[in-house]
Amino acid sequence: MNQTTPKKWHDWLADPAIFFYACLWLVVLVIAGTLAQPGIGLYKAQEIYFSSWFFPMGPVPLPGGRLTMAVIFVNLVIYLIFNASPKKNIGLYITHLGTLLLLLGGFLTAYFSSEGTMVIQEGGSSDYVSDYHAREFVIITPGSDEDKVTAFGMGWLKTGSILKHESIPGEIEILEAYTNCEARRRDTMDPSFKGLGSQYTIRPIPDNPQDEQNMYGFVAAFRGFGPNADGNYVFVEYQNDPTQVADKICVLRKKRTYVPFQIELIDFEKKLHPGTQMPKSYKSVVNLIEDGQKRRVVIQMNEPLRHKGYTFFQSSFIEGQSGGKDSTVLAAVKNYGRQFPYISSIIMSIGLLIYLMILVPRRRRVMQSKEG
Amino acid sequence: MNMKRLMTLIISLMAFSAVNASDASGREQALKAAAKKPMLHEGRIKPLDTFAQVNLLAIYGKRSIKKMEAIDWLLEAMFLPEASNERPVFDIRNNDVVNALNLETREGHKYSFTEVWPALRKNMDFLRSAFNKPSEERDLVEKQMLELYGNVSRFIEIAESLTFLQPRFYLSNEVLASRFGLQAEEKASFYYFSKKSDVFAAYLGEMQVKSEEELDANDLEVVKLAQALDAERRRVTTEILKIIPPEGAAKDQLWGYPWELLRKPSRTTQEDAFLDAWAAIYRSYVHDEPLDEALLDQTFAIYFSPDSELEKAHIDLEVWNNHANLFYKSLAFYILSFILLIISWAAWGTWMKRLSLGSMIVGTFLHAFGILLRMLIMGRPPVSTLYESIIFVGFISVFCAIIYEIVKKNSLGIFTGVVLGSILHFIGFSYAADGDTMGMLVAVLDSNFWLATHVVTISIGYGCAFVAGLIGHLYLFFKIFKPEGKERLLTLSKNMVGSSLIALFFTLFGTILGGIWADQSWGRFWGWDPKENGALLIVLWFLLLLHGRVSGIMRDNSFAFGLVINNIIVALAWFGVNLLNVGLHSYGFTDSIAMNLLLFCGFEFLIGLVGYVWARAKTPV
Repeated sequence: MNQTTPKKWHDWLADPAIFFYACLWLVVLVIAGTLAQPGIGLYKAQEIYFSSWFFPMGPVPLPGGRLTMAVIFVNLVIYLIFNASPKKNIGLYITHLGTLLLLLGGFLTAYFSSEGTMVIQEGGSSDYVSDYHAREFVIITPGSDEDKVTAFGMGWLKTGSILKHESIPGEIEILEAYTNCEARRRDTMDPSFKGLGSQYTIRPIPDNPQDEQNMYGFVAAFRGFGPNADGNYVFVEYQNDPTQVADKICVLRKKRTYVPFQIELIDFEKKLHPGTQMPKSYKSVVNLIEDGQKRRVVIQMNEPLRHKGYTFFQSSFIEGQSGGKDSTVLAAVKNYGRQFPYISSIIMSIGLLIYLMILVPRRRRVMQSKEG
Repeated sequence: MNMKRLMTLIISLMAFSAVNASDASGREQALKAAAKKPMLHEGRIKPLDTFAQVNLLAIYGKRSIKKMEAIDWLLEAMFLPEASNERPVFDIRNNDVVNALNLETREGHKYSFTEVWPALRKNMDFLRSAFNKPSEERDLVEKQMLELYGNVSRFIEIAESLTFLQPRFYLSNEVLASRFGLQAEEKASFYYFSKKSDVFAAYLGEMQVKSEEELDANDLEVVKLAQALDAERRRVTTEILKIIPPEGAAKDQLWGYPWELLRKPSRTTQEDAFLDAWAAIYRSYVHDEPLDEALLDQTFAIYFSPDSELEKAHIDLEVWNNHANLFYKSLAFYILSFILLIISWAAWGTWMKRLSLGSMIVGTFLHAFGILLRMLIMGRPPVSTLYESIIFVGFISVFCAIIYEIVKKNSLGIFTGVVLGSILHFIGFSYAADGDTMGMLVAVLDSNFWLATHVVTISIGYGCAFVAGLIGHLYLFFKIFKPEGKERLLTLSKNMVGSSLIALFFTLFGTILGGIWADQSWGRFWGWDPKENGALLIVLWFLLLLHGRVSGIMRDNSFAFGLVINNIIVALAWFGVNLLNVGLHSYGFTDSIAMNLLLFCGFEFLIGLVGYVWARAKTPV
């Protein structure tokens, strides 16, 4: 580069030094985010270090994974548009283009994909996917044709929130909310509580590093539902009986996403390595039911069901109680950025190969001219 | 080179012929026949030889007891309990455990069953409370006592597997004994008596018509014998020796164990033939009787039909592999190559270098052959477990180094190759000490395509990364001690960059392939779990070094330092992540690994730092 020509704005932004420092910070993040996992669990570590824009270190906010990758993205884009010379080094250009696609795919996945599970007992069927982590509090008004469901997401489930909506007659004030709690029987019944809360109370316990094992719970005051229904209620996940408030059913559960079809489990088969408890293969034989049509599908390890943008994988299973029916656990994923890693890896490999193929003969020519 | 090749050929032939020699001794025939018997253990069909080696390794710490092969120890345990119980095979390294058991401390740390078992029984309360604690809360003594107890229990299970062949029962009355086809006081086995149910039935019939006063001492003796046999049948509970194949040796079926047959009310002729064959092995082992191998082969032939799983298990190949010690031999040739290389720097340079390269190539062939055999025996790509990745990366490193040496001819290839190959062999041996290195895989890993692509690519990446790291060390070394050798430093500088690019290529694609495998298998390309993060770190580090160079922030000295640090990163990504035990990837972990890893990382960091500072001091500004 000519020392006398002044640097333009894009020279600054496309400088590989930016990538160097961003990459160095990414190394720090990955190390910190990995070492944190035994303590706080994978989900939390991911939230703090990798999926965040900033995270606090004491009073100081430090750049999180998303911000760092955004910086790399901008650096790369500017480089490709203004500073790269595809003619001089086509291989390198293509490789960087491939990297850009990878980052783009990651961005799409981060914002537009969803994951969850579908649990189906043998003989039963399901038409919804339960989120791994997000919880919801739903108020269901049963109807003759269809039920009306009002769902409040996790953001609402905090102490002090007031839940209101046109579909419910009154309002619900959250008095206490916990990300992990345990329920204990009360010594004496509390008449100010209705339903489960009259006999049980909840108290918070430390979060489990495995977030799926946390049991959310909260205490709420219902007002305006009618003199018989108003009062305090306790809600926890995995209650045996959903709470009835006036004509409505209220449940705290993992967030559900309904899919436009049903999956019915005909048979679940599990094979162990003989003489051991190590799983060899799992297989779910299901019916995919849509618009009254049934289609037999086999879902097993490494052979998922792909339908309507969803992919269902054989994830694990739940043993039937005392010889009862087994339940299959399918992992359901909807991922918009799915194709990008495939495309980008092909492009990157072409790029690197071209780079190496041009580089090697060029070096040889240089060496030969030296020796000559 | 020709001499070397000839020597190697002869040595191999000798080794081969020694394994295949047919000895006259009945005992040795028994050992050979027993070694090749297939069994089901830990989900895999394997030869009894492997079972013996794995168990001896766990109990004793080695795969053989000086001159005694594992299969010999196994048969002694099953056939000659009086001798076997006195043999000091239980390894107790920790003197705290020795003292807790009230045993005498001794050099060699080996104790016999008769010493250890009663001592353990006196400490059952301690063992129970240790067992009931979650494993993280147990201290070292508790862990090792439980481990010892486990080993001794397994020893008992093994020892009782074929007790029905041992002669333990007798009748003192001459007439009585003769009805059973025996002399007075002649001892016979449970198996023998199990074939005499008609004699028992006849005697019982006679007894039933007698009144109580008419019953005599002989009647009592028969009753006592029957009761003793019955008690034996109910006492023995071991199921560990699963040597009876299911119908047609079908896939995924549970195999039976010998005592199952002895508990059946009646046996088929096939089952009797099976037990007779083992009785023959017993007699050959204990009394040195010649073994009718043809008859034995015939008896077991029914299990080896073309469709049966036994064909695919490659039993004979595995037995050969157990004793071939290919990786040890490969290591020997690498070390020889290193010695020859050093000699070449002092005298007879050209010839020594050629011999050195030749020795390295022989070592690589043995290395590759060992990997190939494992592939054939297991029927899957060579990199499915941590142990296999070590062996494979070692092979890749040496292979690349050979190619490099053939092209460049500057001894750098030989040096890097044998150093890396030897180190990885040593690490491999310490992993092999964990048990059966040919274990079964959990369902999600059992996919040949992805094992072949992702894991192989990542392993190649690790190998190349270590090569680059080693070149980084060499750069610093020559910068400090031979700074005037500008030509060599320039070559090394180019090699650092070149090897980094190649390593980046493989680690990058290995990581992406891993993501694609994860996407295909469980719908998630990237999960930020420790193993994935480890691979990502290696890629990021190489990107960091290369862009540091491009941007002018880093030059040769810091690049070399960066490559030394990279060795630490690769070691942590490869072995360290398993110590965190989080996520989908945790499969393989020992206490000593953590310590060795720490030492390695500390050592490398020190070398890198000192090297970097010193090299900078030697760099003209």
